[in-house]
This record gives sequence, C-alpha cells and structure tokens, in this order.
Amino acid sequence: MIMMDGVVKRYNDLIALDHFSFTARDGEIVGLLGPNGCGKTTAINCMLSLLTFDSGEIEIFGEKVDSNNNTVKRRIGIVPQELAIFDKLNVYENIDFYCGLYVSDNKERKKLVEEAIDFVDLEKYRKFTPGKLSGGLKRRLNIACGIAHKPELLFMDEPTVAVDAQSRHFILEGIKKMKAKGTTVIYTTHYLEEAEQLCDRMVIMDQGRSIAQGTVSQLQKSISTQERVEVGFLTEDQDMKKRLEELPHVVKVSSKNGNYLIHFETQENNLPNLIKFIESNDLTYTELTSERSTLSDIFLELTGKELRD
Amino acid sequence: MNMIRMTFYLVSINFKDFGFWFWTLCYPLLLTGLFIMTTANMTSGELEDIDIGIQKGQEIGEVIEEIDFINMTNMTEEEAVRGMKEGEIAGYIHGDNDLLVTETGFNQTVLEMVLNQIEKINVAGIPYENYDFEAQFIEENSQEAQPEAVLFYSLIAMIAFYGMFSGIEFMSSMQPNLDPMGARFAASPYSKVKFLLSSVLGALLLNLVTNIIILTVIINLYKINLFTELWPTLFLLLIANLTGIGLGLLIGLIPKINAGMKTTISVIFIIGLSALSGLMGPYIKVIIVNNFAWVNTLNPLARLTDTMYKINFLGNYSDYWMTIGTLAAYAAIFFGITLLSLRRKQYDSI
Repeated sequence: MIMMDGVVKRYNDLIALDHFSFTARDGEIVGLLGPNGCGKTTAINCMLSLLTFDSGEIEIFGEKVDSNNNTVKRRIGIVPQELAIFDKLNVYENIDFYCGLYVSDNKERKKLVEEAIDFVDLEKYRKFTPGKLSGGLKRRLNIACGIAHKPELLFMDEPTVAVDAQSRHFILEGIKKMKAKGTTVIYTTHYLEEAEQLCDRMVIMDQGRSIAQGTVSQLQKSISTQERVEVGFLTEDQDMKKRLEELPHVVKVSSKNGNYLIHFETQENNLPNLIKFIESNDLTYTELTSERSTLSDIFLELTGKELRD
Repeated sequence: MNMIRMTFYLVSINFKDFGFWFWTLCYPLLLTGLFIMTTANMTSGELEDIDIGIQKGQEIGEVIEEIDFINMTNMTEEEAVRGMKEGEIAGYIHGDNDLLVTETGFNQTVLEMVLNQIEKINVAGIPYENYDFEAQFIEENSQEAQPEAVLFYSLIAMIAFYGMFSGIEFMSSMQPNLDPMGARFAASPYSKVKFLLSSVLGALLLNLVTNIIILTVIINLYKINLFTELWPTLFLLLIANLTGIGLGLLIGLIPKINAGMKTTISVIFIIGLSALSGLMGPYIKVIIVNNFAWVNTLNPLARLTDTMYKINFLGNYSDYWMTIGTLAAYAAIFFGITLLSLRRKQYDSI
C-alpha cells in the first residue's frame, strides 16, 4: 500500500527527514510516533505529494507519488492536525463541501455525507455551525470531512489533540471500525497509550529518522528492560541493593521513594524468584508491584528522552 | 462537485459573514450618508461661468478667451488674491501658465483640467480652434455640477475593488503552506482552475450585488442622480470588480503572510489609492494630477473615478474604452500570474 524508502527532506540546514523508510500494508493501522518536530507531519506531507523531497522514493498503491495523479488522490483521505473546516458552513455543508472535492455525483455524495454524519455521530448537530460545537465535536467534524468519500488510505495527523476523553474514545473506536472495513490508516500521535491501543505496527521517529519499527511486543523485545518490579522492605539492609542485583535476569537496581526498583531483562519468573529470595532471607516487604515495560519505556530507552519532550 | 454547487458554497460562506456585509455594504452606505451631510448643496445650483484673473500678457489668454464658460479679466497678483478672498474669481493664471488658487472646489478642478488640456494640445500641435472645451468639461449634460461628486465616484470605485478581499481569502485558503484547508484542497483531485473560477464567480456576484444596492440607495433613497449613464457605469463596475478580485488573488499569493495580514495590507493599499483618486477630497487629486500624472494614470481607482465622473457628469466618453481596456489588462495580468502559480503542485516547506 505505502512504501517510503530512504526519503530525505531538508529545510535549509535542518534535516526534517533523514533517510526515512517505512511500509504500510493493506488494512493496517500504522502509527508514526515521536515528539513534536520529529518529522511525522513532514513524512505525511511528502506521502501526500504536498511537499517536495530531496531524495528517496515513495510509492502509494504501487505508483510513485505524483501530485498530478488524481486517480491515486481520489483513493486517499486526509485529516489534518489543525481544524480545516469552514466556520460559516454547518456540519452537513462542511462535509458535503469536502466530499464534493472527490465525488461529483449528487446522489452518491448525499448518501456518503449522511453516512459520515452517522459515523461521527453528529446527527443532532447537522445544522450547527462549528462555532456552536465543542472542541471534541469539531474534531469529529474535521474527521468526517476527511473520511466522507470513503478513502482506502487515510492519513490522520494527531486527530485527538485537545480532545476530551469521551470524544477521544469515540474517535479511536471509529478508527477501529474503519480498519474493520479495510481502510489503511497512517496515524501520527504523541500519545503512547493511543498508539498501543490502536496501531498494528508502530514507527518510532526521532530527528527525522526511524529508530524502530514493529508491533508493541516486537518493540518491547528490542529494549533491555522487559519488566520492572518495585519492592520495599520493613528493615534496612546496607547490602540489599547488591544482593538484589544477584537475582536472575536483573539488569539494574535503582532507588525509588525509599524502595528498590529492579529492572529485569525478561518477563518470566521474576516475581517468583523475588518472593523466594524474600522468604529465604526472612524479610518482610512493605510494597511489591510489577509492571511490564510500556511504549513509554521503549521510547525512553531508544531515544533517551520522554515522548512529550 | 460541479462548479455551480462550489460557487453556491463559496457565496454562502461570504454571505453569512457579517464582516463582508459591513465592509462592502454598511461602511460605504455610512460613508455616503456622511458625504451627503457634509455636501448638503450637492444637488443645488446649475453650473455657472467661471470667473478668473490672468496676468497681463499671458499667451494662454488668447486660448482661454475662446472658452465660453470661462470669464477672464486681466489683473495683478495682488488684485487676484483679493478677488479670490472675496469670491469674485476662482483662480489666477500667472507666470508659466501657473494656476494660483486660495481654495479647492469644482471650479478650481475644472480650471486645472483646462490648463492641463491646453498644455497637452500645445504639445500635440493641435489647433486650439479645433478643440471643444465645452464638450470636454461642461456641456452635453444637463447634470447639476459640484466638485463633491468626485467623492461619490471615488467611493464607488473603492467598493468596486472590494472583491480583492474575497480574492485574498480564496488564495490563502488554497495554499497548503498558508492554511490547513489548503492541504485538503491540494491533496484532493478537484481541479484548481475550476475552484478558482467558482471563487471568482462567487466573489463577482456578491460584490456586484452590493455595488448595485449602494447605487440604488444613492439614486433612490438619497435622491442624488450621479448615474445618468447607468448601464455603461455598471459595465465599468463589472470590469473593475474583476480587476479587484484579480488584485486580491495576486496579494493572496504572497508567501508566508497570513490572510489577516494580507487583508490589513490591502485595506491600507486601497484606502491609499482611493485617497489619491479623490476620496479624501478633490484637493489631493489636483495635486496628483498636476505633479504626478503617471500616478493617476496607473492608479486603477483614479481611472475608474475619472471615467465615472466624465461619463455621468460631463457626458464625456473619450476615455471610457481606454479605462475598460486598462482595467481589463490589469485583470488579465493578475489572473494570468495566479493561474501560472496555481500550476505549482508541491511546496518546499509547509
């Protein structure tokens, strides 16, 4: 469906995309993850042939990207990061206007607009202008304008920014429904929990480069810490840290709020081993929690910084 | 979506915009009301002969003597100044055919135009006796004459160019590097030329409607019949509207400035051109005509003002088609550049 190979995009001295490569297959939701300014939107704009790029190749539907190729354009939808809707047109008119850029047949367009309104659940608000809608409802309208013509490939650039929890949930469920109908979605976000919940595969970006790609479990395996266990003891022991480091699969032990934070390189038998250690040393624990590595840990380890930096 | 529906939406967007109606309809009507209050004698009094003083021995005196509507008397500068203060004469010709005036007004404007015309005739080598000054400046029209008419024509010229704001908005919203909506347009298969035509058509329709409403109010409500040649005036306004929209498209092409800033630049620009064409009073126009004639020639609003004045007020069609041609040429250049730039499909930065 999409093949991006070694794409370089420079803005004078700044390299926005640095030999960026990735692929997306039919029906997949692929997340482009990275902090602000890492090149996600630039990558999308290159794929949409809005931006020129310095080198590399991009193919969509097996054809090289070309701004004159209307056949390919007709199969693509776009939900931009910023709201791109008309303040003076109501919900129905906005969707009809944008759908009309793709569909000329009045009857067909009317049907598609109704389906889009239904899809984003804006039926009650169809006569409302955007000024009368909440932020979340405006986002839904922004999405409806991008999907009304039923694109096979949909680019969604941070569609849930500044959206309340209820609308975010609604939007994510909607994207899942589109995937179920066979739509391929390229989804950029810097909300890791969204990506984990939604994406089949993820591309982690930093400074215009792809630093890791794969499913969540594949990405988890690519980092050293697979599980973290936090444990606190009733009594203090000078050698405790050293003794914990001798446990199987321990990568490192650090302190956290008077407790010990133990990083394990696997996810297997860590808690049983620790409990056995506690019992055999006749220790009393005050706290014991376990957490498997998250996308946030993956990002932190791969880039050395928090995603929201 | 066909062009008619696209035009309908684009008209609808502006139609629902209070700002559009305020600036294109309410504001000009307020200005018209203001002009009427300050020029209460607008419709009173037939044009009378213009009395002037002239320095003894001026060669131009021989020519002026032949002009029926100018009464000339030889006098000194001192006498002339006194005469002007007492309202006995409108101006004094002395030195190198210089016109001395102590106030501005219609008579002074006509005198300026006559002197300029004599100079041009002289340069062109046309015999003076072959030139009909009455036809050029006064006669062939039963219209009551007052200099304040220029204010109204200048105002109408200004609003005819208001289509430029629609042009700016359209151009800005079409470019992905200026507006997120531009990304949607550029990523869609919809023809940019069709979109441009719809936008121009929409802007033209709305602006012509506001122009006609203003003319109707001036003629029927304020009872000032400045538009005796209505259809030729409307045709002139149609072309001027197209030029205004084209100018807006051109300004809209300026990269990396948002639509708001472009509109501000345009407001300053259009007020400047209007002032030079007589919106702030005939005095500025006289200075421009005398000292920077090329500014008046290039200023499309000044051309439009002059031509509306001439055809409606003086019944003079001598430069009607030249003005139509000039405005159409401006429009063609503006649209040509816009179409060329629209061929651009990709951007270096967004």
